[in-house]
Amino acid sequence: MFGILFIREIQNCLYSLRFQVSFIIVLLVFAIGSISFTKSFSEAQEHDARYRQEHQKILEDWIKNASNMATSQNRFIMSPRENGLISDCREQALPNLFTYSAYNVFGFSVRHNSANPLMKKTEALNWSFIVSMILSFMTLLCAYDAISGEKEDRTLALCLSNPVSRGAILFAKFLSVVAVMASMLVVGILVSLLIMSLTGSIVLNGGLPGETAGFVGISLLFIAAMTVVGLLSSALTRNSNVSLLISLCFWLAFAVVIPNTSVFWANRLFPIAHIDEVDQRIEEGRQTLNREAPDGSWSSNSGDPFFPRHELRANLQTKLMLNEKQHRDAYYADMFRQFENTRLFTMISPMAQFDCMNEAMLGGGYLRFHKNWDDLHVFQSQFLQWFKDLDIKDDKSPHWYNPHEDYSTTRQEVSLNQVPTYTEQPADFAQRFSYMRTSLIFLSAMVIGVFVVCFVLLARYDVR
Amino acid sequence: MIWLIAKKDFLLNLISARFIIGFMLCLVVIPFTLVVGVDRYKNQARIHRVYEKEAESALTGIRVYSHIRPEIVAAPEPLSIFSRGISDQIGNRVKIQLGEYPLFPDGHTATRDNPLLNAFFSIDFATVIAILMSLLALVFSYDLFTREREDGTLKLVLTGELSRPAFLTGKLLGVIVTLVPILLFCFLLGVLVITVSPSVRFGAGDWGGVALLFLSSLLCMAVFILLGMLISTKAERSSTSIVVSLLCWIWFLFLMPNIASYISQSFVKTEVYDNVQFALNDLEGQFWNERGEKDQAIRKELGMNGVSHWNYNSGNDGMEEMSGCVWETNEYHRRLNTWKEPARIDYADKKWAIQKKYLDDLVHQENVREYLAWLSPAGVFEQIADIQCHTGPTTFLRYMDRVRAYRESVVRYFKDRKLFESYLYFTPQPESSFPKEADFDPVMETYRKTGKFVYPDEWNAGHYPPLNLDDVPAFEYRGATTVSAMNASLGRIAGLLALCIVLLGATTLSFIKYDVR
Repeated sequence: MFGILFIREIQNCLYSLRFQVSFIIVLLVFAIGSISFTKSFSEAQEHDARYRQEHQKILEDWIKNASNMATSQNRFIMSPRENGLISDCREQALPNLFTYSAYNVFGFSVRHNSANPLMKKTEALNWSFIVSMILSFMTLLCAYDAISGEKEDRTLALCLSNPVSRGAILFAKFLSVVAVMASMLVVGILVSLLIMSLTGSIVLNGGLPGETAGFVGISLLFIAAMTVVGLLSSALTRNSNVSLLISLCFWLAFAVVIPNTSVFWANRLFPIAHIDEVDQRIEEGRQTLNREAPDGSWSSNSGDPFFPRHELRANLQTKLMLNEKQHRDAYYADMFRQFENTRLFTMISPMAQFDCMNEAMLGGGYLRFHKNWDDLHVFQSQFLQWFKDLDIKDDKSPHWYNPHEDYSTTRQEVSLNQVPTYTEQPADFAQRFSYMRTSLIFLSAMVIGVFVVCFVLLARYDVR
Repeated sequence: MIWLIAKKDFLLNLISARFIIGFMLCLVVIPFTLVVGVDRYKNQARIHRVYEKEAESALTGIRVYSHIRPEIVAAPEPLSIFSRGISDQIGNRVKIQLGEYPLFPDGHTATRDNPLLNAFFSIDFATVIAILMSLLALVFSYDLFTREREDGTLKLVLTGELSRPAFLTGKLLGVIVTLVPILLFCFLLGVLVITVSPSVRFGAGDWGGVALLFLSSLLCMAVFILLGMLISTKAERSSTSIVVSLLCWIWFLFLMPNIASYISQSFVKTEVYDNVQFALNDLEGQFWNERGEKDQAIRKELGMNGVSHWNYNSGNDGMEEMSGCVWETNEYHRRLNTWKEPARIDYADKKWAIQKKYLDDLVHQENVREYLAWLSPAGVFEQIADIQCHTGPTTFLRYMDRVRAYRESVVRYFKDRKLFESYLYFTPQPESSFPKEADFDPVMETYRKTGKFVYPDEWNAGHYPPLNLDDVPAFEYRGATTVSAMNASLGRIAGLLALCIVLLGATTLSFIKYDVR
């Protein structure tokens, strides 16, 4: 009986106008998105290659003096991600530039004008956008009248007069919507992959099939969540018009209101100090250190590394750096906390859960940012150790480590391949899984919980 | 009769679930959006005050002309509460420099205190109005004819003397009469929030802007009402027409804007600013090479080996102040500046050629996006709102043109007064009191004995009074007015109006042929 119900529901869905129009829209957007992505990705790679080339020139200049290499503020820029077609995780808007030296990881920022500042920020047309905005909407559109429509047409009563349980009906409806949406998604993805392989600009490498499968899995869970929301609004009323409005309200709340108000909530619920206040604290610390420093701390003699006051200078510079680092790192910790709390707050919306799971699966977005941030700190201590090892072998250096200048450490030339370089490591499986675990549990619980509520509502439905 | 139909529809709508739900939605979302906007504005105003104070203090107590590098801080636009445009992505302060044209302002209005929060997008009042009003317009108009037909009342009505166009007009009026109060209510809520917020001051021009925005929203709403009616005349059943309407809604509101910007970003090439910066650095390197040659030549002319200073500090863009230096040092700097500062300005022109190309590409990309966004009425409305709230790219580009013109006037100020050739450009000390080489002997003598430097007060820059800067040109910018904004958005408004007329015509034609059975 369940099989018949399921097949009938799927047939109903497939023959309906809403499915046909939705299908065309989804295919169109998938196609436009993939074509645009191939174009923009190859361009981004070109830019990135140019940047690395120019950056190499700067490094070649620095290595003439090992101290210079150690103290100069180096930049690490995240390169475009190959699986960006699945989801770009808003990396264009997130900080993507880190500055560091052998002594310190200074900070991060959004690369200057990494997006056109004259253009309003919008989401890229990648797979995750299509699923979270369009497919979710179409899911609701398919599910809103699943129960209330039949109540209106009085076909539900007819159906229930057969030897079939209410649970089976509900489950058949649920499963059919998910199956139809999934088929739409899979076809869209295939079209997208086809376009990509035809244009040939992107190699469909080993990671992609796995990531695609992972994406489909996550999307199914998300679609299931949206389906139960649709069924809930359908079970709540006897009138399909009202259930449509309820569905729309849900969608607006999840897709528009909650994500777009998060900055406001971040500032209200999890406030952090203003950056100019932090700057002021750093400045105060700097002045105190300068005042308390022994006389001659700022003296220098570029000709003689062993000039005794260079030790004082190195000490003062180290203290100044630590003063700034202490305040900045505390502020960065505040920023991370604010972001993570805000993120947690937006998790009421399944769209946010979905984004978060994508980030984890693709190793992008905040996960990627934070991993680089942590890894850079590890790298920085190795870099410093390398420099100290080099310095200790040089008798022309007094080994007074000055984090900003080359007065009192080795000035020998080093070769470029000798200098440790930071390379980005993708997050490993355990990290990714722990990042998405909460969302996974929450969404699954939501699907089951709301489904049970729907069942209770349907079970109490009076067919007369 | 038309009024009767309109009134009936209005009253029926009033007690319907969709009216109540729609109204509640507006009641919750609109004030919230406005509070978010006001909050944002308040923060921008705070940053503005901080920067303005810094800019002011940087220009007070200046004793040499090379320190005149005015900083312009843009005040936040009050109307940005209604439509934010690009004001969030653009900084608010510009430093006028001789060595570079201002391209984009910096300052952390653009970056926020926490750049991580950039990952969250936010929407403004105009966007919310577009989303909600278009949705309500479609929800109220999708079943105007299909419902009556399904209920069998359409046959009944049209058997009377009532002409079809009259019936259509009545229906249209009924929806308009239902929706205009909701829209008006949203705007009144806006006005209320603005008037009770102590941190926001709206002038007459600003209220004018809000009124204009209201009229444009009306137009946008009308387009969607007519669209819904057209769908209703084409569809056989309400369930079909609602689905088509909603798919239109999501296409116009959520897909088309993203498609437009994604396509233009992908297909219109622009440079990454880091790479532009490398080209600028090359030019800067050339400048420093030439400067090195000039430095040698001047030292040779003056017979100097090295240049020694008593008190000296320097900053970016040729900012220098020194005192207590011998005549040769001062003359060296004067001659160097006579070449260096005009050369810096020439190099700025060369750099600008590169920057201009970059900027033109960006503008081109944005223009393509705007044209593509015209495929959606909501996209047109968004552009109108940005223009009317003075937060669109055009207003910003005009502002930057003004800033660059101001830089020209500062450059002229230096050139006209021959300040680069003057000692006052880098030292407050008059030529007559420049010390001689021999004057340092007693100072060094005392230092050797007591370990302290004892020297005349004239050698200290702080000894001299600050310059009178009254004749330095001031930056003046009169922001866009309501009238100019109206003129600028006129073309797009006309476009929406034309769309309304076309839709109305199509609906009428389609309804005349409508099969009422």
